[in-house]
Amino acid sequence: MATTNNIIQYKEFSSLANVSFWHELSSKKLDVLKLKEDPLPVNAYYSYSTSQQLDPFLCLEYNSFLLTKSQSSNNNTTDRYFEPPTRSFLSNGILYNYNTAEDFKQSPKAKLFEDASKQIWNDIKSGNIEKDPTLLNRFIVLTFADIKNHQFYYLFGIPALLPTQPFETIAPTVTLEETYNEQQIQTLHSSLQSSTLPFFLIKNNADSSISVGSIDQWDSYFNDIEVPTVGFCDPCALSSNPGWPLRNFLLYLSTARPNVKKVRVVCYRANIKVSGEQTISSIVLTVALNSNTEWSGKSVGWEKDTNGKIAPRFISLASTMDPMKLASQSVDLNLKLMRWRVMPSLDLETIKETKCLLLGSGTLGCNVARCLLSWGVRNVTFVDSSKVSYSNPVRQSLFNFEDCTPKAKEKSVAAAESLKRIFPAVNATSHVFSIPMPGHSVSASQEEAVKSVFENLEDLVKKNDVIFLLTDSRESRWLPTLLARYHNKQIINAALGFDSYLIVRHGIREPNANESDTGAANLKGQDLGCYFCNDVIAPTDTLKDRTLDQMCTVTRPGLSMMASAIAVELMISILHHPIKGRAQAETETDIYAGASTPLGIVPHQLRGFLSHYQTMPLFGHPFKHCTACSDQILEEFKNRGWDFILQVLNDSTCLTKIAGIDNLNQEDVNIDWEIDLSDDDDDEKDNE
Amino acid sequence: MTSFQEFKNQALSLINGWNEWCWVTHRQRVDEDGYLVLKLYKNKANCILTSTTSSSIRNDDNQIEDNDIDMSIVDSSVNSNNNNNNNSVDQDTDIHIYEYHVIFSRSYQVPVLYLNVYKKDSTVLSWSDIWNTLPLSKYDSSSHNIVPYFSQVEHPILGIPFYQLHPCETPNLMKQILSVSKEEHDDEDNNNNNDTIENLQQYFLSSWLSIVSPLVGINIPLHFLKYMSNK
Repeated sequence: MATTNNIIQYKEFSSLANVSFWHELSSKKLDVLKLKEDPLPVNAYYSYSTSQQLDPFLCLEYNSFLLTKSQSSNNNTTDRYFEPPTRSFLSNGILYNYNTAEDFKQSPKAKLFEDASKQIWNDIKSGNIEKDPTLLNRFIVLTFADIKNHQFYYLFGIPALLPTQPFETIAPTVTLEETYNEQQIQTLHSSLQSSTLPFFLIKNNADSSISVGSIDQWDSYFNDIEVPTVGFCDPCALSSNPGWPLRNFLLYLSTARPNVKKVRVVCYRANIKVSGEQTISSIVLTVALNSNTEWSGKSVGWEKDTNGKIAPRFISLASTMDPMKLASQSVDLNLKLMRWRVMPSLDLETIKETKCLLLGSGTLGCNVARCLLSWGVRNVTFVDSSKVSYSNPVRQSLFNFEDCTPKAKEKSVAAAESLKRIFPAVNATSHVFSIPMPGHSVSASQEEAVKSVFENLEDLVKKNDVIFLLTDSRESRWLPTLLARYHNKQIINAALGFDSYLIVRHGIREPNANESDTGAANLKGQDLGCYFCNDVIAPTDTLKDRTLDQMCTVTRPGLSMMASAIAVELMISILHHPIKGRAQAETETDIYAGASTPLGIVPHQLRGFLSHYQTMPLFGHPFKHCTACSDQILEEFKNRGWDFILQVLNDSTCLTKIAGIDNLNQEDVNIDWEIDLSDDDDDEKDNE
Repeated sequence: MTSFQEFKNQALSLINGWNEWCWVTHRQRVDEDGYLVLKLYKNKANCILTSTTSSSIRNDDNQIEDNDIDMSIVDSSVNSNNNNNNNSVDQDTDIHIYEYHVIFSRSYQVPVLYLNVYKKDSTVLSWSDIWNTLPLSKYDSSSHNIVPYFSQVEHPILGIPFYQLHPCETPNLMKQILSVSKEEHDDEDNNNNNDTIENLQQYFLSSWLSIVSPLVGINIPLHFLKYMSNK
């Protein structure tokens, strides 16, 4: 296998700077070093290899910036010290961190490398190596830490001093088992098991046992022996090559022991049993030492990059250091926990992708947004026309005192900003406008402005998936109801009384055959009433002639939180139904019969009464003459668009006419809507 | 397992039979400090690396001057998030380092497994990449209710993100395991009634690890099983 008279080829180290090392460097740079560029002592370690596929590496970790006990000048016992893990060996390093990419590029690399080499040579010459053999294992590392982007550039140099003549083996390389008997090998294992010495001596005793000692015991070990046996803890696992630490060790031996012509070197690889149940075998070399060997003044050992050339390596740790990314990962993982532990069918991906439009950024808007955030919704758009006033922050959970003063912020803007402060990964946007309302007449001079608001609103409805109606007046809900119905978007409507609330999911129109090519029957589902379906009057200006207490939302404070939470949970339930918004309205009885989603039933309306502490799932049919969602209204909108809207804004009475309610009265078909009303009455009775 | 000291004792005795694990301490003077660490090196196919034929090495012993070092990477990738290791020829980047930590939880009074996986250049694998390599993922669909799960937490000592196997079911699990082995012991040896659950507590760590290891990709070495059965 190995040939005699061969220059020894050594397996070089590669660096393994653990994530925890870069974390430590970042915090050191931020808290301690700041702009200083002083060289820093660092400590690394190497271990026995567990595989020939695994190159020997120098490992830097969280504790690499600690000094060892002997490096530390003061003997303060409270200090923390660096200690290599068991079966690992110390390597002393110096870290040169540069503040700018340019400084890093221009660093005196060859000189720093030479300095480290000289230090090794001085330690060899002065005899320091005998006291501390780890001084043969030195390295330097040059870094440029781009802390802002969590990126690091680094260049390792692990100097091996070249002798004037390269060392050669003068006998075939053999295995440890060919050199020592079982008992001797056992002695070797047990002596080295908990040793921290990277280099050692082996003596054959008269009784055929062996002894293992440190290198300063040379004289007592090898008094008259022609071929002494030395050993080193070899991080390499290759069957014919030793690892990097041997290079400096051989130079040390030939310098410190000039009389020794030949030496046997045990490349000790421990007897770590890896999980595959095989061990890496140690090898034994016989090496010629030339008596007049000196350091040639040259040294090698720069680490190559992944392309095999000597160049810095690069690592980006944004995924473990960027707080934004960490927050996102954490939030996702936390939600997944719910899926893992409770509900495997939870569709977090759909929830995450659902775009939500919040019309109204008051108490309901704030609380709905917070609840959406906790479900992992990432796209939230706020619409509101008013500003944050002093009374708002206590009830409206996204606002602070600072939002009211010195200059009151727009509610929608403040809400979006606040949401991003809570979770920067959220895509929160805001629009400031008031929703055009039927009966709130538009003067000719305002017409263009109102038209563009209308267009903006229609655009927002088209771009979003779920529209939450959270405004404080009845008539502001009309236009969004119509637009969402027209564009087949889901509306979830929440309204508050003093101690009661109403949550309604508006129906989605039946998809016609050409719109859906997947089994139409399957998708059919059910149409549902909207917020206006129980009305026989058109929405009109209710804000006129109201007293202050009627204009403001006067409601029990807990109500908004309850209503908001239910509105969001209703959306989640809808998203989990196979036909989403067309889902059959379910009530309490369906819970026992078997709910349609893994989360339970998908009700149509929820009416809550805080006075009774009750919430009831109810159901209402769509009203075929509804002033907001009936086919006649949609048809009129389809044909006349903005003109129709403008007409309604100026005079809402046209709505009942177009919807056919006016006819209804005249045609004396009262029975029809009396049935509707009586349904409603039943509901009311249930509630009592 | 009622105290850190007990955990430490069991951990040190575990290492005697299974020396891939290391005992790591961080603070010198605090007695109640330390945890078990195991690093496994696996290739992309998720096999633990084993010996193959040795490569031939030729040391390039040329002296390197400043100009020989190509610093252009600093210009090429500043302000870009692309890790330029994508088209690397370095086989090392195919090596995944699985780092397992077993840390004693004082609140649950059980050992807790922490896991992180990264490439040799420190690039951390995404959770989905890690998860798919864990044997546990194969059990996921069928028995999600009984298998404990992972979440990303801050490592209690290092303060960096790690994946933690939830400890909440560990006490229940171990209660069952230890009571089963108690019955077996009782059946085998009616004369010896000393095998109370309390006595079996000394096998808490090794028993738990023997259950958890196969789920997270740690092969239990045969010699460890022999070592344990001889005890």
